[in-house]
Amino acid sequence: MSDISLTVNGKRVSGTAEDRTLLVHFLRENLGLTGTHVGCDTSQCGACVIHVDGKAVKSCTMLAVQASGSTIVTIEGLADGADLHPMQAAFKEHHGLQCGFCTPGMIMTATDMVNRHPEGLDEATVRAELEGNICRCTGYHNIVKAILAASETMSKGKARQAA
Amino acid sequence: MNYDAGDYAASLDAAMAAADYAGFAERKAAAAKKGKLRGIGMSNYIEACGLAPSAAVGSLGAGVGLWESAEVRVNAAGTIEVLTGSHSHGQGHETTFAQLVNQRFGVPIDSVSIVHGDTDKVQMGMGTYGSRSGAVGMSAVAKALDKVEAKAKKIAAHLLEADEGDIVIEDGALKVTGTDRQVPWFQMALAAYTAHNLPGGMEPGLKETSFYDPSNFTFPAGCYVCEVEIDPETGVTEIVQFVAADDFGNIINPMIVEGQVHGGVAQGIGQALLEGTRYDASGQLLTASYMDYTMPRADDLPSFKVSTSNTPCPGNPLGIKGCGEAGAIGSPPAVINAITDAIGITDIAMPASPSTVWAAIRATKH
Repeated sequence: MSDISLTVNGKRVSGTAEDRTLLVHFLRENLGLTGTHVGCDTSQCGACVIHVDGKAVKSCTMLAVQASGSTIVTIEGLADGADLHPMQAAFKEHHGLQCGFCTPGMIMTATDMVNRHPEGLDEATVRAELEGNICRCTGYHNIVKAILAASETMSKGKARQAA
Repeated sequence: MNYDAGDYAASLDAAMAAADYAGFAERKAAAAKKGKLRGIGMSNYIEACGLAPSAAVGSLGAGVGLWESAEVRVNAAGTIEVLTGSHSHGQGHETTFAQLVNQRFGVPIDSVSIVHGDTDKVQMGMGTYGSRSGAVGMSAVAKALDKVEAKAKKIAAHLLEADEGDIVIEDGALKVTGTDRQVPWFQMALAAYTAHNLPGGMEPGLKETSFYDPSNFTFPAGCYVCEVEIDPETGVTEIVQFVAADDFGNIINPMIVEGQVHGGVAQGIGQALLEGTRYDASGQLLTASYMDYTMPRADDLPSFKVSTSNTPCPGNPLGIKGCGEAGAIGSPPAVINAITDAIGITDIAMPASPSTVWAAIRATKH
């Protein structure tokens, strides 16, 4: 057993878990943050993507003890109170989800993607970088559309902040 | 059972226009200059869905009837709960079914809640498959709404001292046609439950149930056109364009319908190009994870060009044909026809993986 301390969605949290505990299970079972999904449990499907120290990580591929001391953002930490994050709003607006199982991972991957491409995104880049996230419902069509739309909104938001 | 209604030529024309079929020869020549094999393939499908007349499926050996059930509860505050036997696991019933009620009575859409999947609450239902939620599930809702409407009009006519036949329901109110007399929906609902002033002999409350058993299957149909470019050196097939034109009958929510087609097309392209279950000689499954079983990923697919035409289905009260499976039906033959066209052969096995396609190209040279 190990003690684990993290900052999750802006709050300091700590707990004790077996060394073999995956980060995703620690988030879901110890912290009750069930928005992060476990799809394949083997880093193939992307449903469990979260941000660890500002980078998109498949949380089923990292041990909770490895993450100790990190700053984590999960899907629950994206919205500002009742105001959805622009990526969440775009998924809603463009029907970027159907069953919703892949959606938390898609959105966390997509926000990371936008952050890594301040120059903006095009469809080919979005599709290539979405390789690690599988969706069976949407055919990706509206997910790609939502990410491109959110990318525009987010870059405008940045421009406003800078001005 | 007869094919009931459909404008098949409209789908064909729409697909060929969206695909710029006429410009294909030029695109094929341009691809050849880059060393690529370009092909175009078409598929015209018609399916029997909206499952299904109970007597018909009984004669085919089904152990159940394929009706659907619905209950509409108008609460004392005028809010409406729709309990449906059609379960939503991503098909958007919560939105589409609520839209149906909103269109019918003009009540705010957020005053309508859709209850499904909770067997403590919902009476027996038959579920979501066979493109049946709209055609069969919503038809059951529509029939329950008919009964609610009839009783609501009786109550309103009594309150307004008007003839029941003169009452119309619009914009969230029950109005005496041709006058400015009206009673708001919520006030009528409250009157149903206070029961202080109801027509003589009427039971209090406003809650109705319906079972709907379809009279026929529904027959969505459409035309799909796929265009591919194949790298003859590697056998890798790229879908460069995919067009779907479907006649789905009446549509309640176009965005959700398009989403259903997108997902189906992706699944069909997966079947045609990528997805296969492989076992070795000893029976060991070789494709047991997503690392080996190739589910389509975003960069295996293009964005799709989707359109619909809307020949009302005569078999159900809403004129809906259904859209859930169409994408997965029309797409595999269109993809395979495009590949065989590109290579100049008549058949290729699915999934047409790069090695299969490469071998087929090699075989044409010997």
